[in-house]
Amino acid sequence: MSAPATENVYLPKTAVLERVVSEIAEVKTFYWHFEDSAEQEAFRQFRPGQFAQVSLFGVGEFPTSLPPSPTEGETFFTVRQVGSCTSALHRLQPGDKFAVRGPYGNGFPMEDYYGKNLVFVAGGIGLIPLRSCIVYALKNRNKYKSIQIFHGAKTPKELMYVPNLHEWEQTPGVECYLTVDRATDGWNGNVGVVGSLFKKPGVQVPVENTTAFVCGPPVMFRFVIKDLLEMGFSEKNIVSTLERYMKCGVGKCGHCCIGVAYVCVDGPVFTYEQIKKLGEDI
Amino acid sequence: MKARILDRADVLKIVDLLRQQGYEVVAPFYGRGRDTFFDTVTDQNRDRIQIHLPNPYYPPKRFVFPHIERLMKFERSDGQIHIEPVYEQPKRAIFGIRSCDLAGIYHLDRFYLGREFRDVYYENHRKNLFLVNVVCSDVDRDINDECFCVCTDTGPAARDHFDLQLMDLGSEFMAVAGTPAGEALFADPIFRKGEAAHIEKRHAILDELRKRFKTTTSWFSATVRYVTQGDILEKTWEEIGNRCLECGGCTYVCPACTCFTVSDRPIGPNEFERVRVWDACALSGFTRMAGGHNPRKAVHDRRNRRFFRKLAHFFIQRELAMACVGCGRCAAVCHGDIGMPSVVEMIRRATGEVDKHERASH
Amino acid sequence: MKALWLCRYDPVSSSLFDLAGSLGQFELVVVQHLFMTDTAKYAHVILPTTAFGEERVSFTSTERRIQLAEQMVEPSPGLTPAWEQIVRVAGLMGADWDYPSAAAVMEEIGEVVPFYGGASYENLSREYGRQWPCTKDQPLGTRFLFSEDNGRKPFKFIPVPKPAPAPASSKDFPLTLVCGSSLYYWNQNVLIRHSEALRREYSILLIDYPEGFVELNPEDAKGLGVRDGHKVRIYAEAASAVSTARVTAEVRKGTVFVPYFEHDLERQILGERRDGSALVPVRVEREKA
Ligand code: SF4
Ligand code: SF4
Ligand code: FES
Repeated sequence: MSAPATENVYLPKTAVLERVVSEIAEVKTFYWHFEDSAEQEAFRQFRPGQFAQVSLFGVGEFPTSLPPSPTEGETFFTVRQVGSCTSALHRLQPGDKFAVRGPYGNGFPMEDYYGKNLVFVAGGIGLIPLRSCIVYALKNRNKYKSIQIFHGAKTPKELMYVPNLHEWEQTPGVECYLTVDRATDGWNGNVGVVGSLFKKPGVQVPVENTTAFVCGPPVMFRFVIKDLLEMGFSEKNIVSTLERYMKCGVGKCGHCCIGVAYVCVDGPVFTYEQIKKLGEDI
Repeated sequence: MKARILDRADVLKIVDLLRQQGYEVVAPFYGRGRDTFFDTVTDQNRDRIQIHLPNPYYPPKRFVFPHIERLMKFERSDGQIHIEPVYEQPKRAIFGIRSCDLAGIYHLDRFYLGREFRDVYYENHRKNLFLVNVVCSDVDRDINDECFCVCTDTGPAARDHFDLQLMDLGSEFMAVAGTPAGEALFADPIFRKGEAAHIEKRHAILDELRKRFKTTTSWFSATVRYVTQGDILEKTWEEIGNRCLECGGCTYVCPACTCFTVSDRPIGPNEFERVRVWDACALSGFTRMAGGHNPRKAVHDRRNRRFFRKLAHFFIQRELAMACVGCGRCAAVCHGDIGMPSVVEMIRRATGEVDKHERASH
Repeated sequence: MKALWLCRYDPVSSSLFDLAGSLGQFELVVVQHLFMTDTAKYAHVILPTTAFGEERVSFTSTERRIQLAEQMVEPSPGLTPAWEQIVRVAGLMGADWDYPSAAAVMEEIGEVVPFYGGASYENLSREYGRQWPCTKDQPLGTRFLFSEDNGRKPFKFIPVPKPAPAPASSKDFPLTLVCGSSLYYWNQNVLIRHSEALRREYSILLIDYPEGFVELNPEDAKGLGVRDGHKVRIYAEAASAVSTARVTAEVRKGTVFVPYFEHDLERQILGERRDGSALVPVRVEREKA
């Protein structure tokens, strides 16, 4: 049979696992590359906030966000072990093969934020999609005004990307604030929800000319949004990524559709203004 | 569009012509009782093809979007993974597709071939498809109690999207060509030029037909507005949702539903195939995420979803077609009597309250 | 008893008791089925059979409807209909059964079972089958079993003054435990397990409640201080069992619903009664972790 002219968007390409780094309990980062170097080059043009579909032999496919910044040159996923597919990925050893297709979704329009202050608020593994934007913004530091990072986790052990956090804490022109719900292991930093950081003495969150990125579990999300709105943020200057059960990633299977939006193609990045208009639970 | 006339006795010769041209022709047949189904035409069953019969519940949608479809194979050997797409590109004709189902296929075209990504599997089924539409003109056999294509403006006589349309005028049939491929058939001597009287007869029959529908959902457009604006009270959705038994039947019979799930299954010791399978938004697993969070946990949220996706103006505009084509199948299969016509009716009844609500909020 | 022949029946996956153990006592277990069921795993001989649509065969439903299913597709090579396998084994054992088709079997059934006397395949192939009694004199079958038309006295309906008291009305056991099928668990669940969407729905239930569940009405749950996902203990008169509460309005107030796949729980509560259709008066308490 002759190959069709239309590209098969469902067809994943073989990828090789390079190495695995443990982040927190049940969460690991998987460094990989496509077998085919042309594929790799094409994929590397992704935008922060986009996602990919990962296939595990004999198990299935799942969507996952892209934590690297396109400026980094490396491709990796950070994945929590929750279902059969993610567990299968966790079982892979360096050198093992799997398959990837993407990148998909709209991603963050990083150019639109040129000349603005950036505020990143991440709860737990909500830092995974935001890591991409943060690294991207730091790489293009002179394009943005102030940069603030707020990251909260249940316990100090559950803070994400700790080496990066240390690096960002040391980076001049970047403010990085951390907090935990429960202080353990000799933690002497802030204790409380992420929003509690906004009111800490010495913290001055700019509201004017600022974009706030918010990612995290539903409860955290609601509270942070409330805080930001009270501080005077307008709904269209708050952006987030939505997570949905996804099967195709290309706007056809219907699983991710919420309100009028297909999260996989119209999202996953939405402003809070848009999210509210979708009119469904997130 | 060009039209021709042919004798009643010659109608099935169109099937023969298409078969001679190498088409696999599927056509409707009677099963038992009310049951009807589309099947591949063979020399044996050719004479049993029905022109007038109740529309099969299992929609001809499956010829462009199969119920279960192989997408690709994964093979593992020596640590390598080979991924091989599986394509099927039949040359097929559907003879006797009803106008509603034709509108359904048009909706699928817009959906699968439109927007950012084209669906290559759908395209493969679609590109060599020849559609022979039959106008539902037999009030007793063609038009079921649940049909409401007059309200969705998709029937009983389609205006476009067919290659050839056949209409029963009594002892003769009128054939209308919708595409050059359809028109090419007119070269055969079974077709002759028509006269003004034929056109008149067509109009007379259609005028009469439109009065013979049993289900009319006169509130259809109003419902579109209410759904689009989110004006339907949660209470009404709950009422609708309470009657849903989560069987998914409405989706599986719908000629305009598009959702599918994807599943990998073993076909050998080191071989897997990836298939896509029709899926239904009525089922709670449709939106449940791996972590356990289900944004649409309540049944009524999921029912709400079906009608929102079908009726919200946004989607009608995006697909330039409504995801409900008035075939009435969901009304026929639903145990809870919340097929499209009933839902429109329930919304109509609740509108008194909606209006009150609206006034109060202004 | 030395040998057991099971025709499209999977008791192991649905029984409350250790049937697998009992099967081990047979010298020969033969299973005819479409799928590798839990029961088939204990069989000495598995005979794979054709499926619905792969053979011309009749079924009788609970509605007394005898229906004929036509063959629509070719079976995979090597598969034969269940009846043919039985005929062949009988032949090997010396019997002289000479049925050319399932229709011939049906003819013989009609000769011995008067209710089926008129149910020839020829007759069944019209309409949606026929409801028995379907005799030679009444080949169209019998729509209503009890009606004046056929001389059998119809039922008389009389109004009941007030609802019959539920078995559970005592103070100690105020709720009624009901066992039954669940939306995504039907009969022996063989077909659901082979249906993509339904299997997903079933497994989701089990992901949400990995140790199984009993269903409680939200009002009852509130009164008991129980929330969805809490551990609860169910006390019946002679026994008790622990499970997880699934709080849902799908069950009526006053009832505790146990889906059939909760074998352990049923076994513990029903004990030797072994009857899933019984209504059992129970009391539910939150089980402290
Ligand atoms: S057919 Fe009716 S009961 Fe079944 S899923 Fe659809 S709305 Fe619910
Ligand atoms: S929603 Fe119902 S009436 Fe409308 S196209 Fe689908 S099945 Fe037919
Ligand atoms: S993931 Fe399939 S439509 Fe979005």
